[in-house]
Amino acid sequence: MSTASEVKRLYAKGEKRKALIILYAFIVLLIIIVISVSLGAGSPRFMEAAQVILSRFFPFLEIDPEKTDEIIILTFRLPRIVLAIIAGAGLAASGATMQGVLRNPLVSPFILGISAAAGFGAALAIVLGIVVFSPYTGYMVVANAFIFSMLAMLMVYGIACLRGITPETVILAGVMVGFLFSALLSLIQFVAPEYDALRAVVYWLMGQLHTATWEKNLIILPIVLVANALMVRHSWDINVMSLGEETATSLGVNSKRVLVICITLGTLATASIISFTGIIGFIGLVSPHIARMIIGSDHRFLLPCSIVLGACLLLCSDTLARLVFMGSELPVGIVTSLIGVPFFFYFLLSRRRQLWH
Amino acid sequence: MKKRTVVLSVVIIVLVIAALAYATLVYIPSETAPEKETITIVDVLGVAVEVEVPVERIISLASDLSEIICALGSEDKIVGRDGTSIFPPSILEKQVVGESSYNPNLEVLLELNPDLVVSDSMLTNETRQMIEGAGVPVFISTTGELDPRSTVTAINFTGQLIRKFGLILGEEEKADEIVDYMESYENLVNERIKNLTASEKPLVYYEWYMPWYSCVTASVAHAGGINIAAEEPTSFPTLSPEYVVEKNPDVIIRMITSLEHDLVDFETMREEILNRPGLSEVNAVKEGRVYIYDYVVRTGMRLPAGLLYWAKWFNPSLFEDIDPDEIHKELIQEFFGIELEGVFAYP
Repeated sequence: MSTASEVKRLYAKGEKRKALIILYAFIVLLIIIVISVSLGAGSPRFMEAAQVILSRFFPFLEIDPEKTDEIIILTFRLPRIVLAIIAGAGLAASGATMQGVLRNPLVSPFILGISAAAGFGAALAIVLGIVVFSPYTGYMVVANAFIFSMLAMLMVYGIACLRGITPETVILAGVMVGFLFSALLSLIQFVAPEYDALRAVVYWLMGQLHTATWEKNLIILPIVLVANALMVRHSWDINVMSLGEETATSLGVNSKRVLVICITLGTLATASIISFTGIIGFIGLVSPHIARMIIGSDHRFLLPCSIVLGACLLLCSDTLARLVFMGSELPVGIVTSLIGVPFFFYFLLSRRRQLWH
Repeated sequence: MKKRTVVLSVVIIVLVIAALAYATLVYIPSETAPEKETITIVDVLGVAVEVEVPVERIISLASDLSEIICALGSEDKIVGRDGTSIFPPSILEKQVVGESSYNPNLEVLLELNPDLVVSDSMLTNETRQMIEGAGVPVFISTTGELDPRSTVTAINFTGQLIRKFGLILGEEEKADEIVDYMESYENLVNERIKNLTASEKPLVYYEWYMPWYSCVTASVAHAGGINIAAEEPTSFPTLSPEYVVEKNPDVIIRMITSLEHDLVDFETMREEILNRPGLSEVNAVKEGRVYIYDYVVRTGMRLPAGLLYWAKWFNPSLFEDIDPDEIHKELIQEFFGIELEGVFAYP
């Protein structure tokens, strides 16, 4: 057997192994979903949940679940499980993509300062009732958070353009815009005339999933789905870009274009998620790192793996968040870091793979 | 050239530091005024506050405390207020020293030369120390839910507070009159709900200013209901929606907190709860027992009105002869001498 075909065979074997890892991660996610749907402050457990879901999808079985169980499972538990999966997946994919194109392990989906901008937008609506544009009064906070996130992104591109768009200018401009908006956010918090509004803002900033509804999920899902698909499509370009801008150019990849496209997609997905959930920060930073340790830095596999891991991690966190006190909720943003950090260290210490090069 | 720039920068830095140091040194608390009779009152944080009585110049940084001072006939002694103190309307003429007690302007505040500053607990400890450092005593109190687990009723607690204010302002008789009035309604409620068994009391879901956000407060029990959040580990828990639905509350009460609102706001808020996904099968929603109220009726002078609203919503058959709206009006007429306008509870 010639060396070339030997190499090809090894490569194909590696690819198969990586695909298997993603499949395993997906199975783990399914298991977590089953556990999550069976647990909560309400009484329905696995059997009741199964009854409710079966009765909904197969009405001819004539299973007749209790009305309260039905409401608890269909109106509260399932939508928030779905939201946790969408949000986890979207944040993780954005994180992995941005870390890739900016070639920086500290980058999170909030690199363009959008967490502070979204917080500022939300606070404007909560505290002062100032709303830029909202199609429907129930979504004033959401619309404001989203609009200001987009504004932050445009500001970053505007500033970065002045010196030419490179990873460095984008990161620096993002940090600055972030500081600008967090100052404005503090200003609103400081002048807030009502203590309750202040608490509501702080609460929003901690991030929560218990306000999930099918309606919100239907708005977020298409955005995250399309953004994630487009990011995965660019994974080969991101691989090439990790070799450096000159090499990328010589291989026919327009670094600037890919960078702007990928960051825009990531920011769009992240902004649409956090506008509904508040700031859930840790997932987008840590999921790509864990995925990188498990599967390596080929973005064609790294991205899907991050997506599944992000969904697992956020769903796990949210399940815990609603179990700790049973009757009351813990903001999920707190739990994500509390369980994500030990998880991260476990992988850091148990893997020998070269992480960043 | 370069050396000159360096020297210049150093000189400027030194000057700035010197100016700051000088400003700090000059800011030394002034001498205290000549001795008057001094009394010691303990505030809600357990701090013993020494006050020279009677107080002549007072700044109030809380709306409920401002109302108490005015009801005691001492509105003329108020020299400054916060932005939330807007009742009685004549108080609007007083100087504003900050939007709320959270961020008063200390220069304006001290320039008014007060004998005493009263505030709610949003005043930060640092701010308190700075005001006290300038020789002005600070008394902190609240009439809302500072310690939601306290078994002392809000009216009992506020009664004690009103007596302290009576002492400070030299209006002890007036204070007794107000406290007696307030306690008479508390006794009325206690008398009527005392024979209710646990199974007769309604389950109450008490929602604060955000969906699912609740409070463990014993006030619900004092008005004859059972608070579904009473056993939660945190004082202001965010209840799990699943938990609320499964508890199936008989009554839902929700407070409105914004300073300005009209009937439409009450209606909108009630509609939101009646139509909130998942609540449709809850008793309170099915029977339309969802009530919105202005938080001011649960503070200060107006506590009897708030108590009666709740008591009547929880056990309507026991309070058929009572009209909380009327009693609220009567109370305002009695102690402020003005006609009450506006909506405070809905429906």
